[in-house]
Amino acid sequence: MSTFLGLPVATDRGTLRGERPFPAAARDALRNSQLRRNIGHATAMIRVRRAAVVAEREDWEALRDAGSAIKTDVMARLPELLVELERNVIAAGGRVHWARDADEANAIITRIVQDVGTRQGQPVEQVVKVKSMATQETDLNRALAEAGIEAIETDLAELIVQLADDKPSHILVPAIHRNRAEIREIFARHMPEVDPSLTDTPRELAMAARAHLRRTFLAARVAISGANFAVAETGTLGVVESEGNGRMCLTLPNTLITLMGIEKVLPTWRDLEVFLQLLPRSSTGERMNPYTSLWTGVTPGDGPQEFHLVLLDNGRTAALADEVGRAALHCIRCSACLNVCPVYERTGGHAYGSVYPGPIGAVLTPQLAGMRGGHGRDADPVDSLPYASSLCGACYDVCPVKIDIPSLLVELRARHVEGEQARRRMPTAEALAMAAAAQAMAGPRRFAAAERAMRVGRAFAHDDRISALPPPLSSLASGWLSARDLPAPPPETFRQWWARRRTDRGAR
Amino acid sequence: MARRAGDDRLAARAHSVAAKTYELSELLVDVLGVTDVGAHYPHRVTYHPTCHSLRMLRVGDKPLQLLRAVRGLDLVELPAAESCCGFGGTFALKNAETSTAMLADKMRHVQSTGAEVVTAGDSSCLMHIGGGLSRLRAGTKPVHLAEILAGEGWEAAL
Repeated sequence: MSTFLGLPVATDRGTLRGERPFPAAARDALRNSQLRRNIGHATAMIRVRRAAVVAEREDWEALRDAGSAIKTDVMARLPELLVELERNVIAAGGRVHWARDADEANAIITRIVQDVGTRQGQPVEQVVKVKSMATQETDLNRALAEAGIEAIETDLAELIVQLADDKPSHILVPAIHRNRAEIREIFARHMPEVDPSLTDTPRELAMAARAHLRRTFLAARVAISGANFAVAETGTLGVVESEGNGRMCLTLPNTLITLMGIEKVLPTWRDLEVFLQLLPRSSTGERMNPYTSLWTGVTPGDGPQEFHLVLLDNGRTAALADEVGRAALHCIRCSACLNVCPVYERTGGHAYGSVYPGPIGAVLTPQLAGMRGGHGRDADPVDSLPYASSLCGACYDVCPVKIDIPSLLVELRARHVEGEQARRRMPTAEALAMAAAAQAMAGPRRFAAAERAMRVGRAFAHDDRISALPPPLSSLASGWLSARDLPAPPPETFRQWWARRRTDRGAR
Repeated sequence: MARRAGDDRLAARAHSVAAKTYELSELLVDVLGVTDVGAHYPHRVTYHPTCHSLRMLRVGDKPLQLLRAVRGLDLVELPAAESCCGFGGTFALKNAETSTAMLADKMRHVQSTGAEVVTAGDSSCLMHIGGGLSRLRAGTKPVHLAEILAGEGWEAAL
């Protein structure tokens, strides 16, 4: 049994570790009625769209199986596939860099941008960006800003987040927590050239963003992107998007830098067939996304003449080494699990404290960042993430690569509990309660005795319900009793009733 | 789980017990081939498909088949039926407020049906939904599917 899962692997810096445990952050989010309404409305809409386009595919389950099988193969052969990818990117005129962690990736990219400035005799002060989770993960924009380079987000939703100095709250729709009226306010305040009579109609908002970005695209010398896929056998990189702003970034500037998590590689060109069907249907609920850009190294006279691929580990190798945890690396960042999650739907993404929120974030974040243990004020916020789920299973049902997220969450909980047991001298109240339950459930006689003992609870009941308990029971059940009653234990257990019923019948 | 702990014998025993264990509606409909159990339950009822019956055990519409055959029972469809009620075992304690937010929506949907009774195949979810409805004095009570199927007349509901 390997035990890599839960070991701290990534650096302290970065965007995976929140400041507060999930329950505390969720409490604030739950009070935000605007956020509740915005996210509830948006996720409900995407859920309906996804369900419709998935239902029209008779081979959907076969596609999921294929996606899962390809990813399992990739994880088994990751080192050789990455070397093959590197070889083919270089053969096509690109350059490849390897980054162990976020800081290293940021340093490599900053240096490439600075080198362009040095060679051209004029420093690069601004770069344009394609929406990218990898660069969110490494907090690249902050690192570039520290080097005097401004990174302009060109994805509409990412731009909204950037202008408002906000954080993304969804993998695919980073501004899902904002509604039209809020976006109109953000544009009016932060776009210097915007028409003050701007309304909140989607068309006007999109046109304002278009005018704002167009000048930037034409002046940009360097673009930075993430990647949805890389094909090892051809050295091809791919980005799927809706707006075409990504395409602008990928084709206009002379230098293109792509930061990609190492798990995104696919063996063959043919594999794209599976993922280009799974991804848009799962993420935006579209049969096909409007823009799919694929590029292989450098083509003289056409598009960027300098291409750099930065391969990011940042905890992925440690997750890969774990036979249970590695399934989370199959994730293609479609966000279908966020959209169906009843927890995410109420709390939104910020409560998770990680750039990867929702169900997949709750399994990916602890693996990339490590669970560090501790309790009370010292508790690592990441430790709370595997518990941020009712294990309802909706995420597993929609996952296009069949990641069994509920089982992974349970596994992470088990490792967290085992880790804490090993660290602490005194067992927690929860551990004691669980030990007592294990004792009671160890045999039918004990269980029957425990059931009978439950009758004591009738002493706390009024009108057949328990609404409050005296200490110390009150502290154990406060979360429950704050909003719910408990039913009074019945005077007779099921076993007693069953036995009496038999005797009564026998007597008749 | 037993296999993970390296206990293959326990895993084999667990497997043999699991192979002959059925959820109630599965046992009645699939194994015994019964949909009409002869019950009488003259009440307006809504059915909540719990996450475990829906997505783990995949019992599908078997509970509904059984409920439709109950005499006098007025079955009303629950809106957003497939979303979790927010129980989730220790989730209800560790993330009590998120759990309550989920429960609030479930209760709103239950009450919108005008049902007197909310039923399910999972006692813990019923304890959760019923606990919330009881606190609100909502006048809708939780009754397990088995109790409805055992119903022999109007007094059975009291």
